Amino acid sequence: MEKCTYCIQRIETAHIEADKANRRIRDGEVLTACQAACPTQAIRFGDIADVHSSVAQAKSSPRAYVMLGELNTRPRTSYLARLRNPNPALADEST
Amino acid sequence: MSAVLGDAASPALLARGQTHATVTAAISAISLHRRFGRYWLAGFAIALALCLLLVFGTGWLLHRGVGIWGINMPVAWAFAICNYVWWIGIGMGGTFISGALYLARKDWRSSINRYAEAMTVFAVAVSGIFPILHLGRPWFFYWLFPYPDVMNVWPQWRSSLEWDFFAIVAYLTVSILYWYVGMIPDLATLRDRAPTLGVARFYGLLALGWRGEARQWRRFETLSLLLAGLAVPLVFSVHSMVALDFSEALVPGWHSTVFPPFFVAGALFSGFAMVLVLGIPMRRMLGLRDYITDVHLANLAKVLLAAGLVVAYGYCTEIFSAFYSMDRFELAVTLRRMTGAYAWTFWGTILCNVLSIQLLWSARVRRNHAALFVIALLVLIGMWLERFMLIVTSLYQDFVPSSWGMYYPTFWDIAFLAGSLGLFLLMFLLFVRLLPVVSIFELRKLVHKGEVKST
Ligand code: SF4
Repeated sequence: MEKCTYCIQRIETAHIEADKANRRIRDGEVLTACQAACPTQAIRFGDIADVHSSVAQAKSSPRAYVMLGELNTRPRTSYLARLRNPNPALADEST
Repeated sequence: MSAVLGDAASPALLARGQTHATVTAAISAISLHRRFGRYWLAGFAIALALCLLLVFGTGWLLHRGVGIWGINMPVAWAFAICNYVWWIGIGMGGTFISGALYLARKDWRSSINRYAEAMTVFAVAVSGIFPILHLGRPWFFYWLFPYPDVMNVWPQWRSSLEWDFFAIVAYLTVSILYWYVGMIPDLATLRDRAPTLGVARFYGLLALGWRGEARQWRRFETLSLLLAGLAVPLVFSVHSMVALDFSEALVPGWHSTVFPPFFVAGALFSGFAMVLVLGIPMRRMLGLRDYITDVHLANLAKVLLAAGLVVAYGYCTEIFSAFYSMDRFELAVTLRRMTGAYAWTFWGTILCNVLSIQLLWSARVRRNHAALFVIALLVLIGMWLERFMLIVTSLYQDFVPSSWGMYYPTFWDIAFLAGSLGLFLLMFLLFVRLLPVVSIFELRKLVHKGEVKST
């Protein structure tokens, strides 16, 4: 399998635990392998249907964008745009 | 065959002087007494060689995977899918002649429907090979069936690919049934005229105990009518499903509602072209000029022209709607088709499918069999190019420039195309050799009607 599975095995482990306790999976309960390994914590994973989850919060940021979202494919992965300063006059303040 | 040839001056569906006896004797002699000479053997040898190539290629494919073809991202559909769509389109000709013209009670179908139906069955059978081999793991193709398995895997009913599978299976089944049922009275004729017991047994088994009683004939007529009524809508469903495989995707150049009717017209177009390409040499080599007359060929040519015009209209609609939508991706694909790396396939398609058939407006061309043959052959080539153009030019440059890429066919791509032609030819040559190529009982009906002089 070359495609990202969103670490289905980790989701399922959490899913089973949550089912046993008859509750939803808590935010942060599933940590994907890439998320766990990323030193700068650039990757977040969670339930986008839950508005309070950290991933839903990040997704609601104006910086969030998706790949080919305009085709209504509803992609699962969103990106946060990098902050850049295009104004040279403010260059000093930003550094 | 002492009959007078039906020439251009006396347009007829049957040469003059034909009686029940001459018709029966002439057609059954082809299966029972005719010695098939060098041409047949040479064709058979070539077809067999190409078939072996296909068998070997299939083995290699099962061993190595679909990577032996030139497909990769972004062009993951290419020759195999072109071949599939092309062959299944060719199948439409036979069903249309035998089904739709039967329902419309057109007499001119009588002497061409049998081989056209055989063509349908063989073409659909050949086409079915490709989607299965194109699956990454073809040996799991039966997962397409909704059977109750222990894995609880269920087909994805929202995918048109799944429905396509059902459409093909239904179409193939009905085509075979229709073809076979229509042949039963003729098989009984062959049984009764067989020179040896072995031959009589062979046709006798196939004839299913047909005795030609009035009761049997009544059932036969009812069944033929029912099957024709089933086959005609199936033709439309199967080609619409093929089209939906494409238009269901979001790819610009595919995502279009005009595709289903457009594919139906294209299928009719290539089907009639194949009927001409097979019929013209066949009537010559088997001496069927008395039965497949100039009128038949001219009528086929007219339908070819009409279908071709609808296809041309489809091309115009595609281009118009791209500009009308002003969708930049649609526009880009449309312009790239005309000017991009594969522009030659677009212009080749236009040349073969739109320009060449304009000659058919002339009655002189419609009577010239060599010209008809060449035009029909061009149409077949053009329809294949059209499929290639539609599939590859939409895929090779999609929304994301970073994923653009070219497609180049490999040896195996071409081998599978050639092999499929070989398999088709092999089946058709066996059909010509063994089964009644023209419907004897329908010709007898024609003789009976005395409608020797009509169009
Ligand atoms: S580690 Fe990350 S990229 Fe890999 S499968 Fe898991 S979620 Fe996908």
